[in-house]
Amino acid sequence: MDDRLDAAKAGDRRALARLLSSIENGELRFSEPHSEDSGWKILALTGPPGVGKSCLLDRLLHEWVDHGHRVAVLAVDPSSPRSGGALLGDRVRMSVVDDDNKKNSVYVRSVATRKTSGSVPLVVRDMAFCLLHVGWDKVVIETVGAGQSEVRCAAVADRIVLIEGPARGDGVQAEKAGLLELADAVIVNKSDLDGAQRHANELRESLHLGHEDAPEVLLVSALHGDGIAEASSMLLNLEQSTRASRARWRERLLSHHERLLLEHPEFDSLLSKIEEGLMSFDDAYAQLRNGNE
Amino acid sequence: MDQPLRIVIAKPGLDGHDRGAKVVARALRDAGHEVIYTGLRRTPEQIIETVRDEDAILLGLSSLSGAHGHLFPRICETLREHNMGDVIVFGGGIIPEDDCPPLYEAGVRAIFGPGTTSQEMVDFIATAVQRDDAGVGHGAGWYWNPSN
Amino acid sequence: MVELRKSNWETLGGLPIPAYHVPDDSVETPGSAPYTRGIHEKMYRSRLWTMRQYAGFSSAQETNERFRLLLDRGQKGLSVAFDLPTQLGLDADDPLSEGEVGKVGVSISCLQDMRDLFSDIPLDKVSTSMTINAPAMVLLAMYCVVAEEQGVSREKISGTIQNDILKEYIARGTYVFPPNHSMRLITDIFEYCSTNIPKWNTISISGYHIREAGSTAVQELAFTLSNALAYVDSACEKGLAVDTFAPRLSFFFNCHNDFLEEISKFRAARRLWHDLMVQRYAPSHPRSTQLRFHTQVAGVSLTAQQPLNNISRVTIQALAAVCGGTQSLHTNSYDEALGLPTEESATIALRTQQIIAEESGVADVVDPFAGSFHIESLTDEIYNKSKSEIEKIDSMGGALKAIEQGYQQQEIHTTAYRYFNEIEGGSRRIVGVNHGTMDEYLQIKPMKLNPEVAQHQHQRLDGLRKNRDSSKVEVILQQIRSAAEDGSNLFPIVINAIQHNATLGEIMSAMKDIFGTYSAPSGF
Repeated sequence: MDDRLDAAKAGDRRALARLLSSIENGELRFSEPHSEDSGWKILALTGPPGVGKSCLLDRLLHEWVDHGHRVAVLAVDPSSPRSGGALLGDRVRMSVVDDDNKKNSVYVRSVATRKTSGSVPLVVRDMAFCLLHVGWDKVVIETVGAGQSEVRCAAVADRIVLIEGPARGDGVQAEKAGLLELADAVIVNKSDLDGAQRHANELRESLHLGHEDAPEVLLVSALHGDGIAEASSMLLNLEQSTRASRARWRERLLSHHERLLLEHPEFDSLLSKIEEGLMSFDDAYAQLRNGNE
Repeated sequence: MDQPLRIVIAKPGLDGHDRGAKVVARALRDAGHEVIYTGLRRTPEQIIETVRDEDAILLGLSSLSGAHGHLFPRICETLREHNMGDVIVFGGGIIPEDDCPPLYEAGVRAIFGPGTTSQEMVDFIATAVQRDDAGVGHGAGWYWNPSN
Repeated sequence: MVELRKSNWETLGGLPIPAYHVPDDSVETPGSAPYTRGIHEKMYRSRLWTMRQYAGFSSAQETNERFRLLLDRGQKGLSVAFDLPTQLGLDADDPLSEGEVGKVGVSISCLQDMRDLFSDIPLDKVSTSMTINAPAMVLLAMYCVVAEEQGVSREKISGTIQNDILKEYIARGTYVFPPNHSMRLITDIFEYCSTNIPKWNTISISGYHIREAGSTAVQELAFTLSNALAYVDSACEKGLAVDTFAPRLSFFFNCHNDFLEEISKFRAARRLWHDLMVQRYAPSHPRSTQLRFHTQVAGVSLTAQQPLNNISRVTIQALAAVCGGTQSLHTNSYDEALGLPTEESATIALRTQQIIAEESGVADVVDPFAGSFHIESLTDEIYNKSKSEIEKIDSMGGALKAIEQGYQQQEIHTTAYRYFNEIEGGSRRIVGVNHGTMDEYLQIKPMKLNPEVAQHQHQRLDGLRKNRDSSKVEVILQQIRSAAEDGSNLFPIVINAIQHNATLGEIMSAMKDIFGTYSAPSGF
């Protein structure tokens, strides 16, 4: 591990990739590195499928690299619950990794959710710490998904940015409420399409209900580049919204608890025993909890 | 298997037919692997950078334009130059019999033509990762022969 | 009165047959709107479909020799396959072209290549079909210049450019620019050709590659017609009157193994295109509502196993295309899953068409399957399902917006993977693959290509760049950049660039400077 860490610090990307795999496979852990700088280190970019997250992130990376930042991306995609495999396709949308002038300032790594139930495995936080540790300035976690499990990204990131598309005519759905509660900023992509402006207005309205400290809502077109410069600088200087701190800690607690259970060496065998009726649920759960205490 | 294997499926060269590559990517996903598809028209350098950053242990190359004879060996060579000799390379597409020996020579471990089943690819992968001489760094040597 | 091929029409056994059946007034007549039964009343009784076989070779000189041979044997039209660097607007000496020059077609980087390709071929006498999309404007400009050097003016040349960029994003992959800029190039071509090259078919809107990528028949039809609507919209937005360009739109479909579904698909396609055009654009020229199409049988249906069985598959597919009323047809060679066709296999492919035309009798009666309960109901169902799919794409903002979201790509891929799993699981039987299999040794044929093509092209381009007035070329390339930016029609400037020996790659690079490049969502 020390060799790989030194090599990764010296810029060996293969050594870095190997370290990240070890973390992913549960062989290594990293803790939060100390930082003097008060700005954010880990940002989660989340939102429903099809809103153009990867395309927008690509635009932001171009901007941030132009401003001298070195940014790593952890792009999370779901594992198939049936086979355990995953298709990790976000990289295709990242033109910045093909840009000879910029590719040394960007690192993109695809991550599958594996056994985790939420949208982001907690192990991603350790991976992000590792990246910061070896000298990357900022880490962006991109999550694909919809629905309530998205709030889990609060457990791994310092800032949460929600990406939305144009209105689909159904207003702001209830299932988004949790995520909106946690978001530090909202970006509505595809400003060139009908309904984008309307959706931005709907979101502003619903965010301002009862909140002084409502996050900013920006309109952009990742495809055409409109509004990207503004979004880039807004996000670089993004502060954590205070209204969400309780919810954020809640997600971290839940996430840690799940990780403890999942990492228990007997997890799979206890699960089988419950399924086969060889053990009661309560006994199995008690054993899982005790084993880690 | 303990952890899923990380596999890059890449389209080097200029041809835009990726039905085969995408079907293979999905079939390997359904066999429990984590598959990164590169998209069309990747240069050898872009492909090995993907393999490196994604820490993939296997690299599948698909070409239907007839440029395999030029591109596959170049990718194998680039992997070795970048000290990535443990990566296992396999290929697919319409690849004539006569073109196969030089590809095996270059370190490609399997060539899958039309009509290959996903089971055969899964069997190849399971076999190759167990061997200690399947990495592209070992150069010419063992390659997959389904009739064995 | 149309002239007929024969004066007497009867079955093999001597029974008389009418041109078509119209049992009562409620039944549509062939040649009348909405054209379910065909766009010509007498169909193949007046003229058989055009048997057009697509071919490509490595160098311009070799292709030229083959073209002249084909013309000597009585062929009237040429069909050019370009290599991948040409299709992507790259010069043969571009580093990205390495290993690809002359591989899947002829390599054309500069005017001299185009001169060689059509040397001693009278361009006022032949029509030429070019499978070219992203750089279609540049290749057509080269063709115009070569024709003019022969003394043939632009008004006299005829042919087709594929020029269908939307299906490249969806299925075929040889796109270069982002969609909105690609659409602008296409409308520039429509506009320029409508006044300057009036006999040219400016686009061949293709479902072929969509089907090859794995779509169903309904998806093929829906995605193709929805792409066509996007082109019509885009031209109308530019201010072109629909009747100035719509009569020159042509289509290109696939024909797969499901015989009755395919016949129904072609019937539904004509009716649906007619209805869409009438409802959305109200053209006054009837030709603006008639769907004319070329068909190629399904390459993807050919098996590497027991390859001779493919002759039967091609026959079934070609028969469906003819019964569906195609205007022209390419039949595949049985050995295409194993490499480039031999002269023998290519001949059998052509003979298959001739047997259908001359011996089977299906060409003697128009729309032979009309009135079958099954065919009529399938036609209606394909019409309805395609129409709702088109409306779904409309609701996403049209074909272009849907492509940018990866919608069509994803739908096609899902179908392709389902098909793959059906074959692997055995629920779909393919003879020779998972049914009626035999122990056999699959021999993929070596590709015999001229290895000197790339080297020759390098030398030619080196010489060209040394001997031309490169400062003049740079001035024109700058004009291309300005026009790309300010929206003026690029076609005349590209012709000027070609006349001054700018290369394909240089012209495309100048456009890339303004338009940028693009990577379409893969649909994963």
